[in-house]
Amino acid sequence: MDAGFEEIDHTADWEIKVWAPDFLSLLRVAANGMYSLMELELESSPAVNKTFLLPFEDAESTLVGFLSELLYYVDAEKIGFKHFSFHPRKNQLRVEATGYPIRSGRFDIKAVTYHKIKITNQKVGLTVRIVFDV
Amino acid sequence: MIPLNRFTKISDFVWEIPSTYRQDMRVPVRIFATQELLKASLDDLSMEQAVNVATLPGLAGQVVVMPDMHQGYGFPIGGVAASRVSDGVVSPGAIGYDINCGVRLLASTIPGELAKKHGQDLAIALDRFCPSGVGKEGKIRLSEAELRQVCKLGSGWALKKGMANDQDIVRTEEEGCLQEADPMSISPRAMSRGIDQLGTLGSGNHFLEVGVVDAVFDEKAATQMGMQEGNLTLMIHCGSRGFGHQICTDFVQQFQSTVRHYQIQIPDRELVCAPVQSPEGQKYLAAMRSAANYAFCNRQILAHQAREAFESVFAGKIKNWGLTQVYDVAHNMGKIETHVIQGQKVKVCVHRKGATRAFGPGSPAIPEEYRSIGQPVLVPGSMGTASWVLAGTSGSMEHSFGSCCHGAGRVLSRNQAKRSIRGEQLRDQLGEQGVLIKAGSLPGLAEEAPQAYKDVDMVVEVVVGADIARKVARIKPLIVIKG
Repeated sequence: MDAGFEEIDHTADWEIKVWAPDFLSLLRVAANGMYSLMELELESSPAVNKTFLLPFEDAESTLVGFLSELLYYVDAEKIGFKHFSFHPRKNQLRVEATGYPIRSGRFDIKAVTYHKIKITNQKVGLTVRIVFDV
Repeated sequence: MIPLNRFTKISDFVWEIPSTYRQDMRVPVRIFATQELLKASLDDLSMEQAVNVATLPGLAGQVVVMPDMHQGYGFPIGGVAASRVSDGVVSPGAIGYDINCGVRLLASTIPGELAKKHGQDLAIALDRFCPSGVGKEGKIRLSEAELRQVCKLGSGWALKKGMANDQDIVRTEEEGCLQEADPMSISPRAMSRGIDQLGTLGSGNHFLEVGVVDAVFDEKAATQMGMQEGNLTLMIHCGSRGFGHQICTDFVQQFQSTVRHYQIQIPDRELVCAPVQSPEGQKYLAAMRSAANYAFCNRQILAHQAREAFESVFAGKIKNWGLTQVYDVAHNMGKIETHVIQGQKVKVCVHRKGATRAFGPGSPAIPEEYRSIGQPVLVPGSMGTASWVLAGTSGSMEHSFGSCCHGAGRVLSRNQAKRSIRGEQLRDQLGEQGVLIKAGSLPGLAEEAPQAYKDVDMVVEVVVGADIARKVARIKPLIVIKG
């Protein structure tokens, strides 16, 4: 299965459909999808490295937690990430992220929601729809 | 989609989905709408979301949906649900991420014609004095101790700093300060987001709008509120910024396991909740109140900054450029209130999401000077259309837990809106209609085009027809500043 995302019409908020062959790829593509909605443009330097731990209770919670973490860095530290390295541990996912200061973007997303979120495992990979509060 | 024949018509403006519609519903859903608005609402998920809300434990009466309803995430926008404090739940997602997003209206004695003469200057000054855009830093950078004070004092913090007057405070819902806020319930991450965002507008549908009172329907009430036909007004729409967003995010995440602990069945994970009286529920309420107080203080500081902008433009040109507060009211909030439900006084946690409190005459919760007329209800339009000032009625106390609509309500998605018009084109069109626009993002402006919203006049006719509010005045937009 290839990987990608597409925007889905939502009356008030923003919604994307994301698909990828495995869960860690799904996280990467979902991050790109969210950044794409925000039209983020990053500087080319200086590079910024961040590491964070996500609890792994269920896949959907980890996905929402991951995107919420990225949203925090956009709002609080004005950083967008380009590269991710994932290190699964027992009940946790360690994320090493490399990013750059934000040059420009649309900062309308308030939060990543759990609304109707369900990662479905199809023959060709994983699919999920994510609604962002705008 | 719920078929139209599953709705029971109560009157021309009131409909009901009985609790027998779905097995897991605990109470009915009552919708304030004309048949036309009701049919239009079936195009999105708002009704399904309202039915989902009706499954939450401990609900009192019915779930109420306002005519400006539209699909949200979990809880419909325009929804009101009251859960009994004794055995009900509090749901962060049912209050929303932008805790105490709300509207403040200020009135003036400045003649509307002056806005045409000095419109550009005023737009530039408002944009300069009131920073906008998500993550945009304000002029105020708080220490952590000061932020905790803001959480506890709300608008009172601005009063102590000389950025408010006594009338501002009195004419704010809860006098701009919810009791029992506890900043110790807030994560360090949320605290870090609250440090530098006070006095900023944000983006999305948040705005500052200079308008002119173009019609008065209740002379006594309008005079009491300080509004006169032909004079300028200023409306401020914003909330608790990244501080509130992070608090809600934290608790929605935490409550994913809380619902399992209390064995609460929910049809949508965004409706996670905790019993109101549980330690988890009380902790959320204490954090939510802190964010609500932050939002009250934020709108107060924006009002102060807007006054500075007005002064910079009008000082020396007219005698009185002052802006006096009409009212400030939340439309994303959870409040502990007592309502008469089926003849019994019941203490409930009222969740209003995209719905405004609208207490009727005589309520001790509204300023003494408004007790004979009812609480002002502020209903912003959509840049090109009117905004409304209404007053709460005794009917709202009987039918909607003292609640009313909060705006026009979206009808087109953001992409549909962008496909229908370009930002530049919209800015020019509105300019030709006499509405001056200053927007941080032109695509963002197109997403908020008037055609993306319902007809606000129709929404107002419903709440008036259903006797949950009455008309006081209509305001025509002249200058809109968007983040």
